Amino acid sequence: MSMWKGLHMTARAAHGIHVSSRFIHKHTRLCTRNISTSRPVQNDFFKDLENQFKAFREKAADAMPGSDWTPFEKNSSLPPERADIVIVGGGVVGWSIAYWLKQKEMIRDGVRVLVVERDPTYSQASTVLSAGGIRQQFSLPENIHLSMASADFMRNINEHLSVLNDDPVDLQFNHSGYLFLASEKVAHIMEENYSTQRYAGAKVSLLSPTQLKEKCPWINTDGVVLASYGLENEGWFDPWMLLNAFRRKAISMGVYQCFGEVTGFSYTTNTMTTAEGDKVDFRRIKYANVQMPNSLEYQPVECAIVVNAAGALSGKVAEMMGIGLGPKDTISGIPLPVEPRKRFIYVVHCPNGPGLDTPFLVDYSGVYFRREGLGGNYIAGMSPEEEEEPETNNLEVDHQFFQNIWPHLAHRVPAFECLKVKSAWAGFYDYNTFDQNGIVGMHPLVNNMFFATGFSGHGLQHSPAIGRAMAELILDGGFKTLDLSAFSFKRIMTKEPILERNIV
Amino acid sequence: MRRSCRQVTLLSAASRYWSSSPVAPPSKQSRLLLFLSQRFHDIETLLSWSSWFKNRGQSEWFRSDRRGKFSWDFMNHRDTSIEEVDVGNTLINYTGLENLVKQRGLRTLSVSGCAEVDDWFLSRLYIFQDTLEELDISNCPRISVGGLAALQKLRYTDQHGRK
Repeated sequence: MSMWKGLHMTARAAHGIHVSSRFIHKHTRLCTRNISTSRPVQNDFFKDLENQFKAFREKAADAMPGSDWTPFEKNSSLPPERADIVIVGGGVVGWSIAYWLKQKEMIRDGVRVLVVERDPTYSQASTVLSAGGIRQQFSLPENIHLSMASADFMRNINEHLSVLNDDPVDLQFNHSGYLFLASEKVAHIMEENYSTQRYAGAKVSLLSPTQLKEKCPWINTDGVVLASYGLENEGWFDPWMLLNAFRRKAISMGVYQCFGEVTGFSYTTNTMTTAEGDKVDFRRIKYANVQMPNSLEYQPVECAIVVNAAGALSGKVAEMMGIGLGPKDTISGIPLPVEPRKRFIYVVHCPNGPGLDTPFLVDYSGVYFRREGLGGNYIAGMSPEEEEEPETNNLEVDHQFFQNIWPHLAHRVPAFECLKVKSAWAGFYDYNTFDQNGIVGMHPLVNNMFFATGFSGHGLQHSPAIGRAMAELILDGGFKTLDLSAFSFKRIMTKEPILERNIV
Repeated sequence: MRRSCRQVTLLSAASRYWSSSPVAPPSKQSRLLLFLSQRFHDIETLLSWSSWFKNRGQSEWFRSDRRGKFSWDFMNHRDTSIEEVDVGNTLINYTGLENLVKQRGLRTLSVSGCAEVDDWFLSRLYIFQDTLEELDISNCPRISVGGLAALQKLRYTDQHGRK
């Protein structure tokens, strides 16, 4: 075919009947092919053969089971039919796990990871509604190590998450530190926590009231007996930037993203009998049904492992597998104790406030505030009492609740007596009603569902380290860098809570 | 006269005895100016020696000469602590601060023109919070507001710097 095309062109160019290479060289402008029935044509033939073999190989691979080819045209926003690991929930924890899974896979395309997120606008996601703080001042060593590892990750974030030819990641990290205040009653807890934190390697310092007043002259040290200030790796950052950095990098590494809702699972059940004669159902997830938004269309995704990183809605996802729906005093009757809890954040403006030097201050009354931007704005909040927990069916803000916060703020920082509330928002905690600490690990009865949820307000600051730990658990079979076995589901079965001894 | 090169560390000693010190006997702290390069492992080891004790007061600047060689004069002062460090226009970063953490008497630090100094570097300067008096962070393009917020931990510092 191409041979004839070349002939035609040379005939035009040569103005003559003789077709030979000598004429071709004169008119190289018009014809770029050398027409002679010798070697070059045979090269074309072999080159074509190579391409045809390649096409044949690709077609054969598509015909094999496990490929993505279907004879019908399908909606491209549907997830693939098969995935190795399905991560339910596209928040910062979900994407962190996806990134680390791809980071740790041993061979290219070793695992096919699919992240399913039901809200493409992230309008109700806890990640983006968070205050964005990170601190090492915990009482559990595991939490301290998680924070330190996450801070290390964020310090070198461009080594981990930068994508070629794209902008570098800028988390806008403010290194102002957390300042915890303790009253007489709880000062001993703060001292014990201080020694735990120092032992774990966190850089924290204790301040007496006079030192506190010297450091923060705007503070009223009335009632404060001891203060604990984080010197390094503490502060706040932009959660949306972190989420997008993880997402961008994970997608560049080949993670599939799908906007849809997981509405159910198809599973097989294996019933076994215990020594006492009780029957126990072991379930294994075969398919995760992903339904498209505003549509009845759904795709059953065949998967090997499901990771429940759904945040505030993890309890509902676990219920889809029947976790918690069994008889009362059996393991299958223990639900996943994660439920959404609404928390408010109020943006206040105070021109005479503490200014650039403000740390993230947490008072012993439960009130906290931090600086926001450079215009004299601060964001403040408070954890409500158990009895006063707000409704969780929407994200409406209760402005009356601020009346509980204001007196404590004004007492602690006299400049805040004349502040104005500019705005407010609400977000959900993935609140672990059992002991307010994360649940990380496998479920005993559903052998291929992993949990990474229930962090009760600390998910964002621990997300890089949690992602790495989950990837180690899934791909290596056990924790390698940080041992999070204290956060397993086992403590919920044995009813042994590990509580954070906070001063609030 | 100080001449600074990006790649080569300068070392030249100019001795001047600080004999007019009013308060303490001359055997207090000496001033050394060091251009540090992370490639110079002998300098790193030198700084990790913890047996610096006060011997005599002098104000000297130690730099390497054009060929990158340090004179060994500073070995005469191994028992003194460093007061002023100028690591301007080098590639020092957060990990490079490891070399300086033992210097408890540091009074002046200049990281002017260092391209790798960022907010995390500034957040680690709390180590010198009690003694640091002057900090020069001019011409460091990677510093932002978040890092300046960390400088509140330095108590006595009179800060001046410009982008």
